[in-house]
Parts: sequence; C-alpha cells; structure tokens
Amino acid sequence: MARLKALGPDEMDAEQTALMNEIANGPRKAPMTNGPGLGWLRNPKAGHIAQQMGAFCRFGTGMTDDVVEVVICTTARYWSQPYEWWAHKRNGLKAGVAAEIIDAIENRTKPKFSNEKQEAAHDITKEMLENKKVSGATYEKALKTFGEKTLVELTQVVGYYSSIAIQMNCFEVAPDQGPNAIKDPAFN
Amino acid sequence: MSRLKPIAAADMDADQVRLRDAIQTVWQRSTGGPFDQWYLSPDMGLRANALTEYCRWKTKLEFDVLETAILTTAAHWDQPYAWTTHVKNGLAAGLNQDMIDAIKAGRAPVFATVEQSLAHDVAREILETHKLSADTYTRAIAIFGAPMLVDLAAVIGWYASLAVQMNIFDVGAS
Repeated sequence: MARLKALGPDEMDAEQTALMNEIANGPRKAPMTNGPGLGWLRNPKAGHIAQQMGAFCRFGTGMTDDVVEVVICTTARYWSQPYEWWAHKRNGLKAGVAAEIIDAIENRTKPKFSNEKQEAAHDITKEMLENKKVSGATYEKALKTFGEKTLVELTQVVGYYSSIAIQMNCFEVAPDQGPNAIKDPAFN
Repeated sequence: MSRLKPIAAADMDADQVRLRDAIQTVWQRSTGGPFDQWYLSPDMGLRANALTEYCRWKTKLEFDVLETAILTTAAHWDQPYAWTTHVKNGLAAGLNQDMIDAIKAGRAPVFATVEQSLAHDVAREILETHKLSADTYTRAIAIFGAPMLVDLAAVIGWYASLAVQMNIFDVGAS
C-alpha cells in the first residue's frame, strides 16, 4: 500500500483529469493511476512536465526498445524500485530482452549478453549508478556503440528513471502485487 | 574538461537554436553545466530544460529548503558543477558556510529551521538507503504536506538525474 492513495475519476479536479487524459492520449495509450502517476496527481503542473520527459525516454530516443528497457531495468534494480521493475521487466521481455538477462539483472549477477548494444548500455548504467562516475574504457565503448547523440539520450534515461525511482521510493509505490515484485525491494 | 565538445553557435541547426533560446530565456545564459549535453538532442533538451526550470524556480519549497536538497544531492553524487553553482545559490538563499561545509563532509549540519533539516534528512536517506524510514516520512509529511513533499522528492530526483548525466560526461566545476 503506497503512502499516497490512488484517486478515482470522481476525486480528480479539472487539472488532474487533464493530466490523466494527456497521458492516456499519448504514446503510452493508457492512463497512469498507479506508479509515477500517484505523485504527479498531487502536483499536475510538475506531472505534465515530467511525463513529457518520460514519453521521450520511452519513445523518442535513438535506442531500440530492447536497449531502452535494459537501461531502465538496470536503473530500477539499482534503486530496488518494485513498480519500475515490474513495469519494465514486462516491457523488456516484450521488446525481446532474454529472460535470463532480466533475471541476472534482478539477481545482481553479470548478464551474458549476445547483443553488444544491450551490453554496452547495461555496463555504463550500472557503473555510473554504483561508482557515481564512469571509467574511460566504459565511456569509450558506449560512445563507439551509440555515438554522441544517442549516448546523451541514454544518460537521460538513466537519470530520468532514477528520478522516478527516487520519488516512488519516497512514497513506497509498488505494483498491485506488492513490493516483492522485485527481489530485495527498497521497502517492504 | 568535459568529454563532449560544446557546439559553437555558428554550427547550430534550427532545433538547436530553438533550444538555445529556451535555455537563455530561463537562465540568462545558454552554455556550460548541464546545457552543453542537451544540444546533442534538442527535443530531449527542451523537456530537460522545462523540468530544470520547474525544480529551480516553480516548486512550492522555499529557496533555502530547495538549495539544501540540491546541495545534499550534488554532494552525494560528487558533481562539481552542481556543487559550485548551488553553493552560491545556497548562500544567497540564506544558508551559511558551516551548513554547506557539513553537507559536503557528510556530517550532520546545524540548520536554522526544521524544514532545512528535514530536506537534508530526506535527501540523504533516499539517496543512501534508497528508501525513507517511517520516522523520516512521518516527520516530512507532517511538516511539508503531500504536495510539497512530492515537490521535494521531484527536486532530489531531477538533480540526481542532472548529476548522473554530468558525471557521465565529466562536466567540471563552473
């Protein structure tokens, strides 16, 4: 049970309803009543700005969906954020990330990648979050794999999904099945 | 020395010029710090600029509380540009040098207000342990209320995001 209550349609004012409609009519094609939406509804102006960045990270970068989801899953694992993990494990599998790779990320073991883009994306994300900086070798490998533009976008995905994980962990946001949607969740 | 070379004004395309104008409008400058990265992906940059503008200027938090949260976040990520920029902002907003030195050193600062102290506790706890204890959450929700605590979490999150991006590209002090 999150520290913020979900709001039903008749509990929302015009600005909150507009934000949910904006999300539902955008590329996500569904309203967001749980997850980051719980915080955004408390502050629809900020929610509007944040969800636009979320839509860019999911649908607007130069990465393919499988690579985006490897970055998000690696980020969600670092923060041990159950909702983010639950949603993006599902997206990752749908985008073609192998189940063994998702499991290795969840178990904090080294995934055996057969795709070098997924591997470079995973390695720079994990190193950045754990070490708070990135070695020359890891940076150069990511730069060679993605080029400057897409690498900047990758760093934005790491940052944005970290920001959402931080906010959801403050308010103990979990999927309906509860915090154990991820092994060793940040809260229980 | 940043890992990215800034794009010269003369080399910008129309999207980059639009981003430069948007950044200039908010910050009265358009290069350095987080901005240079954004020009590589102007559509992303416009959204990042809007989020940064919101967190810096439009939240419900008083500026001394805001700067306490940002400085604690910058110290956690050891991000030199964010740190030097917000030391200036923090001093201007009424924090003192002893508080700032303590934040940097990871000691318990002696704050002037309970709001400053709580903002520091929330930021440190969420960044270091990835959660908020029941005690910290209960105190924070009582003092700030839900909308302001959502803003505080958004500020910590977004300045973490800026720090992550700047650290990947080795952006140094201002």
